Amino acid sequence: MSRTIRTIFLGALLSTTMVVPAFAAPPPALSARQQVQHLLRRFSFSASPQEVTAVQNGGIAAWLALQSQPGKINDDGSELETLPTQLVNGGYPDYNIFERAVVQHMILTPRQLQAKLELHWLDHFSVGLESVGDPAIMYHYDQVVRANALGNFATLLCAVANEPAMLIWLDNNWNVGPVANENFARESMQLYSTGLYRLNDDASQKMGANGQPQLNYSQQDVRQIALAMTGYGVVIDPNNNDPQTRFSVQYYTGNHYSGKLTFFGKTQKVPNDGTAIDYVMNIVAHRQSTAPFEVKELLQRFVTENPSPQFISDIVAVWHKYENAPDQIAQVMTAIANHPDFDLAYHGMLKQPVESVFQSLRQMPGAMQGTADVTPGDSLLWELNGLGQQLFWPVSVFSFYRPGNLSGTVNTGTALDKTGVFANITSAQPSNPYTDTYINIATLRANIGSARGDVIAAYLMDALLDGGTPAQLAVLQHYLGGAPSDNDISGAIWLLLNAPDYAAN
Amino acid sequence: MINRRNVLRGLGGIAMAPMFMQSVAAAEANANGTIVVAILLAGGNDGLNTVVPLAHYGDYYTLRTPGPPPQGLTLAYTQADLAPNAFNTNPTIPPSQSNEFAFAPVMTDMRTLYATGKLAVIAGVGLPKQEENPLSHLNGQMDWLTGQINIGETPPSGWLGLTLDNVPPGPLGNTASLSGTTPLLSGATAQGLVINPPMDYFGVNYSVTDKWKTEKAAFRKIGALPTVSASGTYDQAVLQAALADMGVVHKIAKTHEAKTYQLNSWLDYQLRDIARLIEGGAGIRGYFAEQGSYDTHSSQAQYQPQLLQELSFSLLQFYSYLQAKGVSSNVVIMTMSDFGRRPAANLDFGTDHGGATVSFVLGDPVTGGVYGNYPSLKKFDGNENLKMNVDFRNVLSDLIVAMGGNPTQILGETWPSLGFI
Repeated sequence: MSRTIRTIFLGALLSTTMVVPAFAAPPPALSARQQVQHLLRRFSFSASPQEVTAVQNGGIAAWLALQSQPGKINDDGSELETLPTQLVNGGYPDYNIFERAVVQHMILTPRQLQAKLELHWLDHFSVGLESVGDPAIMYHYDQVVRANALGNFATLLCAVANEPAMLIWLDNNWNVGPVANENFARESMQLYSTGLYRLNDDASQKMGANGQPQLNYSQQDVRQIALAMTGYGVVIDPNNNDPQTRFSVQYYTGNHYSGKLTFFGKTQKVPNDGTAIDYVMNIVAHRQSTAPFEVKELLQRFVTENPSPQFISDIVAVWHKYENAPDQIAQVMTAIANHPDFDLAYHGMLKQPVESVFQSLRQMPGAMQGTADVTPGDSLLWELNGLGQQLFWPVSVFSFYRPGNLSGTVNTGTALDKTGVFANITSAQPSNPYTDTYINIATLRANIGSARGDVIAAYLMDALLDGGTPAQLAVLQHYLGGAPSDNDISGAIWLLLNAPDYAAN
Repeated sequence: MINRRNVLRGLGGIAMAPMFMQSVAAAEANANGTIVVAILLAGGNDGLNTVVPLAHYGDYYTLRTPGPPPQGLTLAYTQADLAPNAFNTNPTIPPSQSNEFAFAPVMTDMRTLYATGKLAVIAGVGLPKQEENPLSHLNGQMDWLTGQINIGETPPSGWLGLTLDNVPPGPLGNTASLSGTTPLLSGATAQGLVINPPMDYFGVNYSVTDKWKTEKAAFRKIGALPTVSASGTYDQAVLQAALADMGVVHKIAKTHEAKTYQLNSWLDYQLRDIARLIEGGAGIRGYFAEQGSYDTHSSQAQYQPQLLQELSFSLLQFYSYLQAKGVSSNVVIMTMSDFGRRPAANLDFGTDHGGATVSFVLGDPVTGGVYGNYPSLKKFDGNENLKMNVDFRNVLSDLIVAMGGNPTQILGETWPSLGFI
C-alpha cells in the first residue's frame, strides 16, 4: 500500500486547521438516555449505566441543581488514602501521594461537576510540579482550585494568584522592583484571564484601523503590573513537619515597588499591604474581554471546540448577570447545559486523554465505583503519563493542549500508545501488586446479572458507546461468544475503549 | 480485508489508483532531496548568553549584572570562561585567535561543530513588529512554525508541511514529528507521522488476554467500521494511518538499532530516532524535534547552561552519526525559538521575554560562519529588547529554496538569500 494513499486519506480528514469538524447538519434528535449520557460525559467523568438511569429518572435539571451545590453532596470516601502529616527524614514517604489523592477524588467523588471544573481550572491555571518542586504545595493549590471551581471567577482568580504554587511557578515569588520579573504579570493576563487580544462579546477579535487585531494590553502594562505585584514571598517553616501546613505566603512591604504605577491607561493606587495581587487581579477579572475569553474557553472544553458566536454571547450575558454572585460559574454552567447548542454538540468533540481513562473507570463498575476496594495508585499516574496528561506535569504554561486544539492530542503516536494504557487497565487483576488500577470484572458481572455473551455485549455497548451501531455490536458479540470468560470480557472492554467512536466525547 | 484503500472508499471514494502507481517511482526520486530537521528551543532561548559578543563584552557584562555593587551577582560569563569557545565569522580561525564571539562555556561541542565549517550562526534573528507584540510564547512559536506573523489564535499550516505538499512521499510520508503534533508539519493536505520515542515501541499492545490473535482480528475489524461521529472518524483516520505505518517503522527500528547512540537527554532520544529513520530510508523530508524549557525568568544560570550543553552534545552526536553512516549529505538541521530574552537581567537573575536571538543551521550543505549583524547592546527597541536584524522568514526562505519549494508562495514575500546554504 502506498504512502500516497495514506497522505491523501489523512489529508482529507485532518484539515489544515487541525480542528475536528463539527457536524455539517444537526445530528438526529437525541434519545432521553443519550441526552443524559452526553451531559454526564461533558459535565462529569461519565457514569455507569445504573447511574445514567438514575439521572434519567430524576431529570437533568435536578442533577444540575444538585451538582451546582457540591457542599450538599456527601463526599466521604472519595480519597482512599490518608495524606501524610509528618515529614520523614525531611522528605516525603511517597512523592506521588498528593497527586494520587487528586486523581482518586476526581474519579470517585459524587461531586462530579465540581471535579470536572477542577480539571478545567487546573488546565486553565496550569501549574507544574516540576517547577513548584513540592507535591504538598501542589495539593494545596488543587484544593483551592476545587473549592472555588463553581464559585465566582474573580474570587477564583485572586485565590489562585495568591497560591504558593502559582507564585513559584510563574516567578512572582520574591519578585522585587525596580527590575521586576514579568512572568506572572504577562501570563496571568494572556492565559489566565483576559487574553492577548481585545474581544467582542462573541469572542471575535476587535480589529484596529490597520486591519490587525487590537492588543488587549501593552508591554508597558505588563511591566507596570509586574511591579504592582512585587513584595510576596513563599516561606517554609523549618520547625513545622506537616507537609500540608508548613508553607505560607508572606508579604514584605520593603520589597514592594513604591514608585508611580500606571497601567491600562490609568494611574493606579496599588495598596502596599498584601492585597496588591487582589487589586490587580480584580481589575483584570472585570475587563471587557475577560468574559468572552473565559466563556469561549469553557465552551471549548465542555461543549465544542467551535462554539458559535451566538452561543458565546448568550453565555457571556449570563456571565455578566452573575458577575458578582458567589455562584457565578455554577450559573454559567447551568446556562451552558440548557443552551440549544449543547445537545447539538453530541459526540462532536474528542475526549481529552485523561477523560478517556477516568470515564472508562467510572463507566465500568468495580475499581472506581467508590467502594474503596482498590486504591488507584501510581499505576494510574503512569497511565496518564503515557497518554501525555499527568495532571501535575503539564508540558508547558499552555497546559496539555490549547483550547480549540484538542485534536493535537490525537496523532499516530498516541493512537498506538493508548492501546497499551487500556491494555494495562483492562488486563490487570486485583492480585497484581504492580497495577493497582483496574476494571473489576467480578463486580461488572454482578451488575450485568447475566453470563450470556449477547447480554454482556449490549451492556458494554450502552456503557461505553451509548449503544453504538449494529455493526459494532455484531463484532463484539462474535468476540464474546455465548458464555464469555473474565478474560473475554476484559478483551471486549479493551476493544471498545480503542474503538474510534470511544474517542468521541 | 481491511486496508487503507477500503476504508478510504467507505469514507468517500477518492480515486487513488493513479497516485498509488506513481508513488514508488516518486519516492525514489525523492530520496536525495534536502531533508530538514527543525528543532524548537521552546520557551524563548536567551541568545545573548548563547552566543556572547566578545567585542562588546563590557556592555554585555553591565546588562547581565542587575544588582548594584556590592551585590555583585551576575549572569555574565567571564572572559576567561568564554575564551575556549571563542570564534570569529571565519570558522577556520582557532579560539585562541578569535575575538568576535563566543559560545557559552558549556557549548564546547558547538565550538567543535563550528570548526567543521558546517555550522551557520544566524545572529540577530527575530520576529518583525516585535514592538507591537506583547512577546507571547504562543505567537512567537506559531510565527516560527508557520512562517507567518500576527496570526492570532488560529493554527494554520506550517512552512515545512507546505513546502513538502507537492513532493512525492516516501514510504512513511513526507513529515514526522518526534515531539507530538505540530503545525510546522501540517500542509494543505496532510498531517504527518508522529512517533513518541523510542520508535521501537510504535505499535499496538494486544496483551489483554492470552488470545492476542483473536484480539488483533477484532481490533482491526472494529477499528475500521463506519463511525457515528466526526470525532470518531478523525480518530479512525489517525489510527488507520498509524497501523499502515507500523510495519515500516518496526522494520527500520529492527534493522537500524543505533546501539552506540548515547541517550543523555530527551533530545537525544528524538534525534536518535530521526537518525534511524534517515538511515533506514524512510523517505521523510521534514522532521520536528523539541527541547525545552528555555523560559528562564529566574535563576537562569541554573537552567540555561544545562540546556545548551544538551543541545550542543545532541547536535554533535547527531551530525557525527549521520556522517559515519554516510547519510549526511542532504540533511540540514536548524534551530528556532519563540523569541530572545531581555538584554538586561532582572533581579531574579533571570531574563524576561525579549526580541532578537540566535539560530543555528548545521549540515553538509551549509556554509559555516556568522550571518546577520549581532544586535546593538546600546540601542534597543521600544521595549528595551535587542533589535532584529534578520527576519526569521529570511532563514526559512533559504531553507525552503534548498528543499525545492517556493518561498514566495509559502511565506507571502520574497527574501534575498542569506547565503548559508
